[in-house]
Amino acid sequence: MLRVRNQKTIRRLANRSFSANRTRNIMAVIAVTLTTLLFSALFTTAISVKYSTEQTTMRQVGGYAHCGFKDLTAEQKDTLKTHPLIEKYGTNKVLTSLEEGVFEKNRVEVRYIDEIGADMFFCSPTTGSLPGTERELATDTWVLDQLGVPHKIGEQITVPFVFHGETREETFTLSGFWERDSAAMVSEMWLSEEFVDQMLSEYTPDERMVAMGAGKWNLDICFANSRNIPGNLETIARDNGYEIEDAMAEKYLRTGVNWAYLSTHSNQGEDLLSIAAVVFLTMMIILTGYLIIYNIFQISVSSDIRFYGLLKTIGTTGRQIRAMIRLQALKLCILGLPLGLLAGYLAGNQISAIVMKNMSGQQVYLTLNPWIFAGAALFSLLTVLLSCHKPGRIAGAVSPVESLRYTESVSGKKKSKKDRHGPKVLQMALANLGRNRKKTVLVILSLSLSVVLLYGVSAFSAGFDMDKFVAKFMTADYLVGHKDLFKNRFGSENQELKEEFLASVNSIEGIRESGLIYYNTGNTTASMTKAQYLRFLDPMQMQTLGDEFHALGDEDLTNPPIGIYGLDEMPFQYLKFVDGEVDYEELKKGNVIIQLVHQDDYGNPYLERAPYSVGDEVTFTYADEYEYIGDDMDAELVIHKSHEKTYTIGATAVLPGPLTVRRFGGANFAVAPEILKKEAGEKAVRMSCLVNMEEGMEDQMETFLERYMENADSDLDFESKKGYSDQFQSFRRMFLLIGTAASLVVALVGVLNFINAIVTGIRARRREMAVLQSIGMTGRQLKEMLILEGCAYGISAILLSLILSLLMQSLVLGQLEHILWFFTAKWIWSPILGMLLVFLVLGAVIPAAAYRTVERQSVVERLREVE
Amino acid sequence: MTILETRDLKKYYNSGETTVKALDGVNLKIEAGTFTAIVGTSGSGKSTLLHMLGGLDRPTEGKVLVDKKDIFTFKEEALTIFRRRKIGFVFQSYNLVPVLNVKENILLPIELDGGRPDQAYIQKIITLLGLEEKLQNLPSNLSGGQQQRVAIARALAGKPAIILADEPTGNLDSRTSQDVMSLLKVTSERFRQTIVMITHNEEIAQTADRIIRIEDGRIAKDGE
Repeated sequence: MLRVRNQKTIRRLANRSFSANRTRNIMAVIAVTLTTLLFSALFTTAISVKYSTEQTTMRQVGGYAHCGFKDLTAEQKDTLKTHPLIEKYGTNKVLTSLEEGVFEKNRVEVRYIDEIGADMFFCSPTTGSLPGTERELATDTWVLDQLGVPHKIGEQITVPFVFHGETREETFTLSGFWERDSAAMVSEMWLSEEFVDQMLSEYTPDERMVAMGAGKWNLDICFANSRNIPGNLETIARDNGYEIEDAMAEKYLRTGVNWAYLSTHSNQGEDLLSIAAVVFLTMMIILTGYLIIYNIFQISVSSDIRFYGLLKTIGTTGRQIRAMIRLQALKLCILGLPLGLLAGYLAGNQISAIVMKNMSGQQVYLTLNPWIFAGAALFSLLTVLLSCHKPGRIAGAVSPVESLRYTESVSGKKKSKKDRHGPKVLQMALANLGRNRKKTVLVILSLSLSVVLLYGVSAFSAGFDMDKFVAKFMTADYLVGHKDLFKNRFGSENQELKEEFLASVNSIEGIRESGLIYYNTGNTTASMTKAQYLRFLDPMQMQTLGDEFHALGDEDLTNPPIGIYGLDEMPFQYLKFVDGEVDYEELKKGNVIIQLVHQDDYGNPYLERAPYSVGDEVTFTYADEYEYIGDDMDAELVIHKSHEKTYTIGATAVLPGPLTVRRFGGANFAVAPEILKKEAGEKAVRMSCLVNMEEGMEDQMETFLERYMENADSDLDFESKKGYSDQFQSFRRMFLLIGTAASLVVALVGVLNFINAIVTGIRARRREMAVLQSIGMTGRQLKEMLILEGCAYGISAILLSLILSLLMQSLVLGQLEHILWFFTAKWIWSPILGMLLVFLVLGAVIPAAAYRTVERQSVVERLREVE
Repeated sequence: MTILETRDLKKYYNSGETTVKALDGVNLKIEAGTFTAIVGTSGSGKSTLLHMLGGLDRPTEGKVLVDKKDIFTFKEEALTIFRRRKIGFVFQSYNLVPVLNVKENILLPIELDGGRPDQAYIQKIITLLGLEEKLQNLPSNLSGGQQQRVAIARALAGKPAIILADEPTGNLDSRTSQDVMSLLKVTSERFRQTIVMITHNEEIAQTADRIIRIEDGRIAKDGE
């Protein structure tokens, strides 16, 4: 076929017919805006939450570099950094760390670093700059505070270094500083390269310095993206003739991958779930958008069908008509898209902030990711094009002859009308709904969607079972311990609850009962066969055990480390015996002990992981004098002196999660505190204090604890029943808030669809209604008919929603009980009944209002109107 | 030269058990440059015949040849293009595009085809039909007679092989009807334009060179 230049004409026709359809355009622009809003809010939230989680992890890790090579010589560093895969790199050279005195709890790493490197560590000076001369220094404000130095450039700082156990003080000038990130686990101190080299020439690195890689270079790397970091790392090594897997190899290089990037991949199940959720929501939005935009175009095309027939008659091809409609749709996008994108981005940021706050109490890191806009715009466009495709085909395929006598009527078979008695007006109203069945069905579906969504959200959040939730996390009113306990980092004598604190607590009024939980921080092992060990041995940990272990037979004896709790009588009452029973008096005698097991989220004990049976004799070996040799990760335990003790397992029980050391796995036992102290001595540490208050006095304790933490001991932290129920409520509120907001937007779309259907329906039937009036139907009856039509939409939508909600209840929410342990499915009426009310009101008000505009013209005027 | 020919043209409509024979074997030839009127009562099949001639509707059986080409061998899209090049329509209800002004309406078929209008010729038509003053008006601001003149101008603009006019005076009063008829007559003569017009009005039909009477889907009488 000849390609003709008629685009201009088509465009003109499209533009003119666009301007002629004002009401439709307003409706469609709102629909496109709302659809885009939903898309961009969804994408913003998804991307921001992912980004924020990554950022938070990176801040904990202390860097955003993808990975790095460690312990390099200067030559190695200079060769490796030129590899083409590397997008950006930073280098640093370690001197030592400060771990004494005020820095005992928060280590300070001391090194020379370049600018990009400092940025990768999130430790670029925000005031001042990196050290320029030999005697300059940059560090964070927390370190300055510890050293008693004001936050001012040019201040003199004296730093106490420790080399070979001997303290050497050096004085520097402050060249720059930055705010310490509260999420970071260590602080950094940047020195000049000259100073680092000078120290290294004076002191051969001691053990601690060697462990940190003193005198060696580290090369931190960013690739173009975070996909396949380990693979890229290996490529760089291989291309330069190095090996990174086999630590024994001659040309081995030590490497590290930032687990902020790894963790996002390790949780594949969770990742898959989030992706599935985003895909599902995207489909829902496409459906929502499709239902309305399709309907708007469908209605517009069928009311303009004569116009298209006419165009066809005088020679417009189907293709040209389709192009016309597509052009109009695109024009609507140009108006609706930017508005929707902006509103959606703003809404998405709000939602992300709420989500991040509730998920982990962390802040949201805003991201202006272009993919949000590109994606939302693309999906919105897709929805619009999808929606106007079919109406375009209808208009394009219209037969010129048919269109000239086209009126909306039922297509297909028609049953013969029986003469029914009853209200004629109602009958007419129902018949009218059947005239354009597609339109009616789409409006009803569109309305139902919001109801079902609202039902889902409400039923979901109503199903959150607070008792189940709180019981899992909290047993007593208050649990107090070192703040590291709550970060799952408990394990040393330094974290013990102080005597002064316990004395103060016991002076509080309103305490009903209290007690301590001790934990053995020393090294104790239990004798058992390999088969018994394998019952609770974590597969990951198993890999770290040497060949010696793997060579053992099942019945050969081994000595794995165990955990021992010392329980006061008050915490003892929270033990849940699952096999046998021991009373506290017997426990205090010291011959009988209790074997502890964990339980799953539903409260089922992992009995199969218990190494011993009730009645078994066990021998523990308590190490009295020992030390660790080697660096952190691969340290080897050398025991100088130990003693053994034999007990009988009296019972197996579950110690509720909050009362434990908060690490999963291992073999654990409970004894009375006196028994533990007798065997473990100083290593029996007061881990946590459990308090139950008199009724009505709960707040006393909270006030006391907060004041105590502020004034006396900032290392303390606590958990309370009230705190958990607040957290739970806020979690539930978040769901309800976001879900209701989403339902509202979808409902708005549904109502818009409804308004459009009613208004266009009434307008198209102007003449017909005039005919009805001329043969004796009163305006009142007419209005009644229209209102009945409107209400019929609402009632049908509610009935459909009811069916869909029932289906969802049994198919989705019922199943959720098995997936979410804190969930109990409940049927609730309020969202459905509430929406019914809303729909009935709208069903009455909108037709009545639309009819008023028709009423303004006289019957005769309307009768004369041809079109 | 025969410009339009039908061969045994049939159109049957099935409605339930009964078959309505709207056209039942129509054979006719129309010479180029003539003005033919097809007359018949309501339900005689004349409108169906016109729709077939213009390729707006497909026959049950038989052929329509325009310029010696069997138009129903074309596919839908090609037929539409053939129609806009070869056939101009004038309807009882004018059927102007309400969103385009008079000038744009007249040029529409040519522009849809991607062609460049013959300005001198268009100007001649506009002058002949007395539309110079109204070119910027929208159809809704014109009287019935004026709208029909625009429709005739539109039909002429593309220099079609045939103009098909379906009751062109059906919505007009008798005086305006006379005006429109004489305009059609004049155009036919001035531009050697073939025109086929259907009407139920005997008096109107008298303007034509040839009158074909149609009854019950067949040609009942064919005479000058």
